[in-house]
Amino acid sequence: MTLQHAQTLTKAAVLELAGIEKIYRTDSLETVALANINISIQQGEFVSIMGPSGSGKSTLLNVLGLLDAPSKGVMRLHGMDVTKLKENAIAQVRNQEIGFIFQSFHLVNDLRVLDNVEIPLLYRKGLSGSERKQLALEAVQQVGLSSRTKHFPSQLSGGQQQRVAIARAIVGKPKLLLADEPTGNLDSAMGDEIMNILHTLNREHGTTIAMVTHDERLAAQTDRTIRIFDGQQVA
Amino acid sequence: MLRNYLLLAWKVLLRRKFFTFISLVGISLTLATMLVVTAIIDYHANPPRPYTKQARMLFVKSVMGKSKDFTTINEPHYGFHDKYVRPLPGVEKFSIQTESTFITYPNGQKTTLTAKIVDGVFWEIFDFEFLEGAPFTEDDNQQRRMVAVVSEKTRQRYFGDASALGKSITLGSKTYRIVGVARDVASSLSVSGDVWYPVSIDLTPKDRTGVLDEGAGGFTSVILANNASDLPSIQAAFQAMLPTVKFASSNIEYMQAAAETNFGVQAQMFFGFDSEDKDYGKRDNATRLIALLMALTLGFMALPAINLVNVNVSRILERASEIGVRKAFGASSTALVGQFIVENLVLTIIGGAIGVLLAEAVLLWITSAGIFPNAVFHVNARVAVYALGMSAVFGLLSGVLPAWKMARLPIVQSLKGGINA
Ligand SMILES: Nc1ncnc2c1ncn2[C@@H]1O[C@H](COP(=O)(O)OP(=O)(O)O)[C@@H](O)[C@H]1O
Ligand SMILES: [Mg+2]
Repeated sequence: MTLQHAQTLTKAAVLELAGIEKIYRTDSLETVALANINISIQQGEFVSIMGPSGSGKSTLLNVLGLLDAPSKGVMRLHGMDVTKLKENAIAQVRNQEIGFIFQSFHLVNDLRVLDNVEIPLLYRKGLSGSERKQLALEAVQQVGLSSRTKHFPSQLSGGQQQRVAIARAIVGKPKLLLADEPTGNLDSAMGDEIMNILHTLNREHGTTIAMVTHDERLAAQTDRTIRIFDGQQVA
Repeated sequence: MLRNYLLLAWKVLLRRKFFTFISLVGISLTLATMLVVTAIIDYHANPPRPYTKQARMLFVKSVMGKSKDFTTINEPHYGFHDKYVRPLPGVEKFSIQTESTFITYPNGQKTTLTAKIVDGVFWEIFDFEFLEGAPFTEDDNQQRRMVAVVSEKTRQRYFGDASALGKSITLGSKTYRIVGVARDVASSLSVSGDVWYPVSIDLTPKDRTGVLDEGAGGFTSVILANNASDLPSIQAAFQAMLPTVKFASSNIEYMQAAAETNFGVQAQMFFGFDSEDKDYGKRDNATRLIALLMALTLGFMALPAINLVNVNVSRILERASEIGVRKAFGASSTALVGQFIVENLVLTIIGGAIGVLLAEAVLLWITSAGIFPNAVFHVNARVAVYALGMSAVFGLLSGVLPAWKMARLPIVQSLKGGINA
């Protein structure tokens, strides 16, 4: 297939997965975490991923985010086959294109809010310290935490921590945001706050979002729901 | 990038005060111990005045004589130094010495004095600091004038705070007129003494003609070369000279010896004298001693290094999720290894700096307690550079392995909390 052809084929698709399979092998055990997944996510879409516990949602999101390599299948990001890239190139793609939000926030406890938010920019070339700081301040402002930049994560509520994590995910202005149960550790009021931020990002900045959730109510607010059962795509 | 790493390291170390404290204690104590030992060795390897010209000096001390029936290791006679060593090509100045001890009773106090019995050139090779008067000359030596130089301490014992110039000192049956007072040097340096007088006064005909094993012997010599770079050729000429030595009145057939640097002499003394040693005089003792000291240093550092590796492994494991996050947001493994190494280097170098301060304090104490009489120890620039190098090696050793291990961990696994999670 020529590059030209590949590009016309995947015109508006941010992500395209074809025949993706993920098998975890240990000495005695073989777990098929994902089998024959075919997904296409369009530019500007807000997609939710649902399924029972252990069905492979996180595995799928990790594959989508290039955090984990599939055992089989092809994946294209903006039309580019990313399954063949080397480790450092993948790291750069993640840095430029993707932002992550985790269920348990994964903030660096030793660093203040602003330093946490700056992390993705550290691995981007050509940014000065003051530029990084400026961008981090903007991101923190977007999640409404401008008054907490000097706090350590342990000094914040769960909802605030997740907002810091969102600021970190968007500071590099990625086109794709991946969130693994972002409200899973939060009460519903805090969860709604987070959802509001995600919706705003999606609507006002055109950020494409894929979000794993257990909550039908939250899934209903998204454009489309992908359902996974036992590693298989059921809808 | 390095600036970011340094900044980050600083933030993390400040944030983890307990870990930082424990690590710094371990690192600084280890380094301080090493520095104290290093400073003392360094002092003897690169001694202060009167060894200013040490880089151009070679010493001829104990030699080995071989006969059919026996082996002797001894300082040779005056004649050996005078007839065989003095004429070697490249020798700019040459001095022969021997020593003796005298029991004297200044002011009724029984005192043992070490007399260094030297020629006039001795004072040209070694630049003693004179508090009063001046050294005796080679002419004084040739003319067998009854003159002496005393040390600061000897002056104190005999004359209190008064001047010693022109006064006399009696050693055994002979009385000498004091012409100079030299500042004390550390008694652990071989050039030190309580009193010096001309070697010609005591020389017997046997001393002058003897080589080895004809009577007492007991003479050593010092060669001063024009240039430090001349030393190897002088040493080679010395070796070439040995087979030409004629042994007048004994059944000694050949000798083994070396003209060694000051450090080489001390290395030989450290390794000891073994009459079974077939390579006596032919071995590079200085290099051997340095190798041994390095091995000991490494051995001594291994334990705290392993300990620090352990602490680092658990510290880095604790930060598995941080590593996962950084990688998720685009950090390469190399960037992470870099970050952890810089963190560890910052830690060990701060530890090294504290170690230098601790060592300096201990050395001040050793100096003032007089454990090495008259020696003044410091962490000098050379020792400090060594310390910095050692702490860097320490930092790399203890940082690279855990960092590398951790940076290789798959992201998903790191995010779950590490290797065992
Ligand atoms: N590193 C791993 N090694 C082996 N099996 C794994 C690993 N990670 C996940 N799995 C298995 O893969 C399946 C899907 O896991 P996951 O994607 O985490 O599910 P979900 O996020 O939907 O709860 C589960 O059966 C899980 O036990
Ligand atoms: Mg999950």
